[in-house]
Amino acid sequence: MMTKPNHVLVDFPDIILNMASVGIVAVDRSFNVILWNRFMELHSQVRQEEILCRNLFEAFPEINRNWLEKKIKSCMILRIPSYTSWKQRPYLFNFKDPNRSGQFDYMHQDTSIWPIRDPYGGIQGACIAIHDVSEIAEATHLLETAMDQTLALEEANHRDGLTGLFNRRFFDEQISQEILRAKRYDWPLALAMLDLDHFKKINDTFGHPTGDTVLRSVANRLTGMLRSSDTLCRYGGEEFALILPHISKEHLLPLMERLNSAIQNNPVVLEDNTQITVTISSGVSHLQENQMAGELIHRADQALYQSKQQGRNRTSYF
Amino acid sequence: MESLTNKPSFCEDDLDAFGEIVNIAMGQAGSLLAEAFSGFVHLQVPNIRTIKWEELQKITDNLISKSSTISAVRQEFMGEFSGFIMVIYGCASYAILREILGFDDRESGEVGKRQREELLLELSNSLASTCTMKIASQLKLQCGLKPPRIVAVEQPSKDVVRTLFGPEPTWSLEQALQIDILFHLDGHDFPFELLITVSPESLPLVQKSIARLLT
Repeated sequence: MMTKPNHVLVDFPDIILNMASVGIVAVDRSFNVILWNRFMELHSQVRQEEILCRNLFEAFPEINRNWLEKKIKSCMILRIPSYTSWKQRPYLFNFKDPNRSGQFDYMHQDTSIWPIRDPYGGIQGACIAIHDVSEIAEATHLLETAMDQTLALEEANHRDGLTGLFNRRFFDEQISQEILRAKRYDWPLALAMLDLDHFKKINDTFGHPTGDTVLRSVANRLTGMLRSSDTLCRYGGEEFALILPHISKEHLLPLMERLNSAIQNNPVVLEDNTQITVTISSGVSHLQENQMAGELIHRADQALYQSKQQGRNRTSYF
Repeated sequence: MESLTNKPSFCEDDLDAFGEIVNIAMGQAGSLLAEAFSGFVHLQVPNIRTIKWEELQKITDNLISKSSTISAVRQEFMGEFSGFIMVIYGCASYAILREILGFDDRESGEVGKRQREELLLELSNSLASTCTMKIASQLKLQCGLKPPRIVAVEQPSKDVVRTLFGPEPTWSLEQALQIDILFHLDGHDFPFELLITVSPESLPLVQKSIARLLT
């Protein structure tokens, strides 16, 4: 048989009142505060004697009254607990961030709300428990920021700083993947190597900053004429590599012609309105059976060399 | 002496008796919900079955195929009567949810998105907690609920299938009990679904309660 431990005198309400890690607020059916514990006193700087018997919403006008009233009412009718999470609603009471980390200036809170029964089974009000989850919220926020940064960094790692095109490193990864894909789905894959003609002369005549402007301008013009599935990379100094999946020879050569003439017919305009006409030479090749990336690049390079030999501003196919 | 190799499994009689208990609980839950939400929410007579984990996936696939995008909320319950609840919404009208719950805040952008999630959580918790607590109290078993959490918001149903029930639980080969409740919200053509899956651990206690109630 169990004996009642009545030799220990414990003031149970005192345990809750002094609880400093969880906020406990109780309200009656008219939302007048009937319990306000130490946690609430410390964070709100409102003492128990100041708030007891006062209406919660009048004392804290920042609380969305309609929302909380509806929530508490249905929890009293259904006789079940109700919850709020910092993920949807950062806080119920606007308290200062206890960690003062500077990231947020308020305390993040999870709350649970449950009906208060009287000894006869009736519902006399509701109790709200406030959990300080600032540390979880901050950790989550840091994690999300770090993940965003990682993604941005990964993107930056793939880009050429001057032109904004994909860089050589990305090209090396991408060409192998495109080759695998072309083989798997049995579609044609072409690679074009493009080179600005007489770029050294532009640099020598106008200076390197102008050379950079020319590179950027050519990169922009080419990008605007490509399909979303094409990948244009800055391969080296004034050389570009263009991966063209799913393209036949009948479409490939006219496309290269269009690129060549677009560059030739639209001179680069400098800030002082000087116009520089530039041309490009290119070499293209289609992926052959059993070919690896190195061989494909080599063939496109040889075709480019042929264009240069034959007087530049043209495309050769190998 | 009880055999250790034969895990207690639910027979037809048990299922029938449990069905009656659940029906009584649903009646009580239904009238409370009618009072709380002015008759906007209607519960249908539940369908009760025993299932294995593998079947649970199929049932869910089937359920999800009814709607192209779904939202889902998951909530665990623990104690003598334990398991988890999924509330699965097809295309829900947030305007109607707002009206049912009486919430009036309506902002745009990121804040609006979180307010819509809160509507789903609030309604799910009301339905899931009321039904589960009423069943537990009919069985005279202790039970408490954890806060609900969002599993999906308007995601293509086929993408959600895998994430819906999370990783396969350790009870994969054991039998669980599932209570499938359709509920109608006014202003919606199609019913939504409340699935209560009772964990195998609590089945022996559930069986004991049923036996006690029948005698």
